[in-house]
Amino acid sequence: MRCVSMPEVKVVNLWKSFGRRAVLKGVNLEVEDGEYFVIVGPTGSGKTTLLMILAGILKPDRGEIYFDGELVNDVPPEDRRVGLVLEKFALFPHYTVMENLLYGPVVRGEDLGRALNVAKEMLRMVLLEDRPDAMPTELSGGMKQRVALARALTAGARLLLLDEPLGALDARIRTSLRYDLVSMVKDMGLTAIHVTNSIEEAMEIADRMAVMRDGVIEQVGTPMEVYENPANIFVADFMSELNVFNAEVVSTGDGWTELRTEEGFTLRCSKGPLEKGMKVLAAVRAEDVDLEHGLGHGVNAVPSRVVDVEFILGFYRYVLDVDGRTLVAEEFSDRRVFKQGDEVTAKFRQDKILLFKQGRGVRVE
Amino acid sequence: MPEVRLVGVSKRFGEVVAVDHVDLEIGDGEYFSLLGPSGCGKTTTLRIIAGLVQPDEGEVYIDGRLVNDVPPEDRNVGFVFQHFEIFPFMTVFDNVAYPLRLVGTPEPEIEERVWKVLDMVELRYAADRYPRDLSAPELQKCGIARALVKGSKLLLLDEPLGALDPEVKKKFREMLRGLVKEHGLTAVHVTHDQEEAMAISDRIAIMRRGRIIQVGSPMELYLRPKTIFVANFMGETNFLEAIVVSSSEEGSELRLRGGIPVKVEASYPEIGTRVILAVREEALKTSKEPFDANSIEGRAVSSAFLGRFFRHRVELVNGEFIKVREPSASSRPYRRGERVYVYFPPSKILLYPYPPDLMDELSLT
Repeated sequence: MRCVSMPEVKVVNLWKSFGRRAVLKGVNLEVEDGEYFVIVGPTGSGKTTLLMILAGILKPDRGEIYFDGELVNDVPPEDRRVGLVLEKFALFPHYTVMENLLYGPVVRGEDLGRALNVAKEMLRMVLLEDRPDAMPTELSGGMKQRVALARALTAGARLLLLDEPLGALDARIRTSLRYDLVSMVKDMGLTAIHVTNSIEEAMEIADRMAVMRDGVIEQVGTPMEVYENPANIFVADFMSELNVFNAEVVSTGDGWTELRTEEGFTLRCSKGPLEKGMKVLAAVRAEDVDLEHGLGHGVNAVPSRVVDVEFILGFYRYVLDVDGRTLVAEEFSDRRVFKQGDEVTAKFRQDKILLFKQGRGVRVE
Repeated sequence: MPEVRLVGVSKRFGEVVAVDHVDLEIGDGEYFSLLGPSGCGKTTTLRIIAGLVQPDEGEVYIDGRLVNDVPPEDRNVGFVFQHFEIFPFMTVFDNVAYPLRLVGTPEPEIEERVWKVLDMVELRYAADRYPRDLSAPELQKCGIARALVKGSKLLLLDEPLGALDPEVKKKFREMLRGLVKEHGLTAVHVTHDQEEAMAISDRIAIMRRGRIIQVGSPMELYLRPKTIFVANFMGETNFLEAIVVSSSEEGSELRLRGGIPVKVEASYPEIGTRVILAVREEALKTSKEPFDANSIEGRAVSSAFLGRFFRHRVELVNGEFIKVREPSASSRPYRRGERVYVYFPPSKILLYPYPPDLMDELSLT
């Protein structure tokens, strides 16, 4: 019997290079049973390589992979009981939906009657029970994606590995399908590891997420943990649009610190005491900048001019100029309050100012 | 005089009507987007403007001149592709110079023009580099420089941000819009991403199945979508079936399924008819206690933390599921099954006649 608390997937100190390029540099990861886990990062961060190693398609140079406590480094892909869903669906175009589902079991010489029953059940789960005879070309992108999911499940997978499974779909279909995808996976009680370059997608669907960069996992946590307490400036910048200032601590006390930025702005944040004279990066998210009419200035307030206004689905995004330096602010409203050329005061919310150390950008505790 | 004008333009590929009687006027200096799902005809329309596809019917005017019989190279348009189409064996400089060399432009003039457009896209520093040493945004800048090098004032862009990471897109689209505005260019931009279209465009044409459904500024399309399809495509909208009970100058009273009363500001004289009520996810508000009679009771299904927002899914007492997006500063996560009231602001509710085929209207293709 398997131990309840044992993680479904455990990766220990994983390394992988292609030629001289190190793609994974000591990755550690634990994914719990039944979890919907998302690995998110920019192109080239190593997330797909990690997924392919979990699937057994690539071999690591170093490190261990455990499924259910069992070392699987030498277990071939077809014996790992994982289902792989790829961006391009990879359906056989000249086979029907049902033939696509049965391909794996037939090739492996499994009992066809049993496989057929499982395949029917899976089609029902992905709401395609009435389309077993359709050819892939007759299906929409969303349907193809569901067939790919059903095919992965027909093979009896307990662990789903999804590589940009929504990436080939239109933006709008993508947002409407991701919730359905996760609900389906959760209803089936599966564990899933989903790779994406979209932080928005990651946040909406993840129980927990890992932010990757340059072959390293920078942070793991629930979307809220990672957003509110980013480990470093890279994670913060990846999660939201930041205004970043080079600043120095001028005075500090219990629960407060006053900073002077290189532009000469005075910032006050709710952290402290810190070391006086310390050089930091101070960051304010665009949504934590409030705008007021008129050129006021003072602590956490900067006089600026509106250079550009964008309206995006329920909020305004203002690009501001302060003597040649750009700031970004977002206001949640469907009424435009400020227009191009307006003189405004950008006010930073004191409790929302994030501080990072210069250099590697680690968060100031 | 409009920069680009299409009159009754149609194009068939075999049995498929790709572009169906399209009329369009794009003003001089405008940033214009063609937005729609895959297969809606937006790219074919762009290629017709470029002269890469011949229309079966209709006229194409550029700068007041009928160009139906003018070959692409003589239309004075710059075309930018999603996948850059940069020659891998040439430096950035030579790639950008290519269209000039093709027509035998003298070298000194090539020098001058190439440096000018490289400065426009801020790529001078990379002139001697080969494509393999460039990032995706740099490759696309190279593509844009090449499109502009012959002095075209009309820029045709086919999913120009499609190959960029989501986090990079935001900065790139700002750069692109700035470039077009600063140099007095006209841009026609094809995309399936409604957020991108809203952020970058002066006006947008929404296409579906070869036809233009609606043309307007981002705000007009957002506030006054002409059809259910447009409302659905431009962001996340809830659609509920309702019956009109009474209506006057001051507004209407509706009943949702299960007899739930809702007041709306819009008048709808056809009493007793079935309608579709549409309300954007960000227009709704959740609360623990009802605001007034327009607050409908429900139970929380899930709350996703999206950073700036929460997206709540709620099952109303009549069994219908709706989504609500609220700024995270003024919201909180709900427990599954927790009782919650959803307020429907009367001024933000749109009404549409019940369509002959609702599922088809609601499909995103």
